[in-house]
Amino acid sequence: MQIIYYGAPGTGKSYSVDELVKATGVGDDRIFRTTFHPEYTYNDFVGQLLPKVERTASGSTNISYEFTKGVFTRALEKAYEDTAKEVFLIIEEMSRGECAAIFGDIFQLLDREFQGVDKGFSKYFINNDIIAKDIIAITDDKIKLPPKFNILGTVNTSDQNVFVMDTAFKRRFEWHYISTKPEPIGGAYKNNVDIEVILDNAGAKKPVKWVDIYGTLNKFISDSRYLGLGEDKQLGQFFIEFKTGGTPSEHKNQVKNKLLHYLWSDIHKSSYSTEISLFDSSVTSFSELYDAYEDDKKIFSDKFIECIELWLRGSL
Amino acid sequence: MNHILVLPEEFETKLNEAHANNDIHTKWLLIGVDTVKDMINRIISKMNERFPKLNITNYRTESKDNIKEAIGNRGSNSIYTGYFETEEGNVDGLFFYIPPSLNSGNDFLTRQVMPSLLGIYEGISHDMIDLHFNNRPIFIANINETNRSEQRAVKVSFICAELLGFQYVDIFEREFHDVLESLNEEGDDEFQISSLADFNRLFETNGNNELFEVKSDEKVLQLLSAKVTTSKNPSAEMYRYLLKILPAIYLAIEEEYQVNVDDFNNAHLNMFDVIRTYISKI
Repeated sequence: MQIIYYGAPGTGKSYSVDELVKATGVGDDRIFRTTFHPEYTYNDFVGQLLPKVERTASGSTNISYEFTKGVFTRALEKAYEDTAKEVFLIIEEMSRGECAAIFGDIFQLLDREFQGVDKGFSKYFINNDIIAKDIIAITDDKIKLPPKFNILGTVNTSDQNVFVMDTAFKRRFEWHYISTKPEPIGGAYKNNVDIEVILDNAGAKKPVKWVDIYGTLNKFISDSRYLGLGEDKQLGQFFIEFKTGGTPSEHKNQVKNKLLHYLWSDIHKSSYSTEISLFDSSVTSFSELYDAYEDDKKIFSDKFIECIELWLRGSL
Repeated sequence: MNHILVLPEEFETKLNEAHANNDIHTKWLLIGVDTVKDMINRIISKMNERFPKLNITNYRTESKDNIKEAIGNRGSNSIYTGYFETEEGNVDGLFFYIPPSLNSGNDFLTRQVMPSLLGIYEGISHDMIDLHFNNRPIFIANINETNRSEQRAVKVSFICAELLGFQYVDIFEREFHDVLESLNEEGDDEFQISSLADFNRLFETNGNNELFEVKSDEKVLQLLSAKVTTSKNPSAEMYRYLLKILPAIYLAIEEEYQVNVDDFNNAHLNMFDVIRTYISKI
């Protein structure tokens, strides 16, 4: 399988990958995990020649160059050890690296056979003697991905300054959308603590469950009646992973330190609307927002607080 | 990557017995092998020469029970099966040998390779996505000094192994591809079997093939069971049969033939079920 899980931050994409892998019962020795980033290269992924310094018996120094295998090559070798067993190559944050450059010639291997004796193998081979060097099942230098070599990736749809994936690359993966809907559906939600919302300038408070807050936020962010910023900017249920058994004060700190900056820089500052705002008009900078939240002052706009009420009544 | 060749304990016993036999030892000397240790070193050097990626640095022996466990064989254990072990202690490939003095051409390869392969396939059939019968690369060393390796039937079995992707080394450097010359009607320099029709001709006698029937008009490969079911020793015959029908099935799949196993319906041998399971995946 070649699947990319995508969705808003905190929706549980990595969790979904882990659950899928766990369900196969595969051991850690058959799971290879890496995270792309802007400096990540083909050499990190596939491998590179690195100098190795050795001292000889006479005390002189010898420098030789050895191929240091990257995560892809190590996973491929493992997959060829026994083609009946699953191997997972998990790539987190795929869009934070330049996939076309990182995959390089490996891209050609992503098309798989759907029939024939070689069902599940790459449809086309690439010649790469360095990768093939230690795979005894490959008698020459023609590399193919074996059937149980799985690539699972995650992509955060709201990331900025990311690399664009080309269509040819994207179509070689199944794309599984991870919704922002709270889990589990129809039961006691996970990660669902009370958060105090200040309703007015007099300091009236109302405890609101996290699932209701982020649900309202998502509606407010994406709905064209409000900010209309699209689903990319929404939040997942696990955008903040609240400390189990934590105090209200600890939860408040988590909101302050993990949520406020995202809401200010990625939501409020991205909005084109001059009439509708997420935050109260008294909040004109992030430092004011931060301090106001810390001091239990009203930070959200009346419109947003009205939306919370509508959400709680099921009418938003 | 370096590998350790892990051999069944019986391997050394077989070599010691062969070494004690003057006729066999004389044949060893003709290829520059004197002692048992020499023979093991020759096998390792031949394997490394033909398959440099193996890079076998040493060998050790293990009980056949341990080997059976390590390679995931659910069938009976085998004194002819070993494996290549990586530096991390993992099994990276399977090793089989055709022993000295074996004098039954019918049992070449079939008795050494197929029982373990069937036993392994029983355990992996549901996990395999592709239609190869083996989940690990297979390497076979022929250290049999008899002239059986010169027989047509034995050479045909090596051709079958080659079509299945098995790697083969003859310590005595005997050629077997010459058995294909009768099929090479156009005199190609490097004739190889590349179609089900070619393969069928390898087994035809007077236009009849008792193992399978190729119905090219209907694009059907009909597997026939009588060769096994009428045998006095159906289990042994089954191993011989499997080595010959598997390449036919591979070729049939590639040529988009249907594989018909209706003839197995009246065959009451567990091993037919393994083939049925395999066929059902096509």
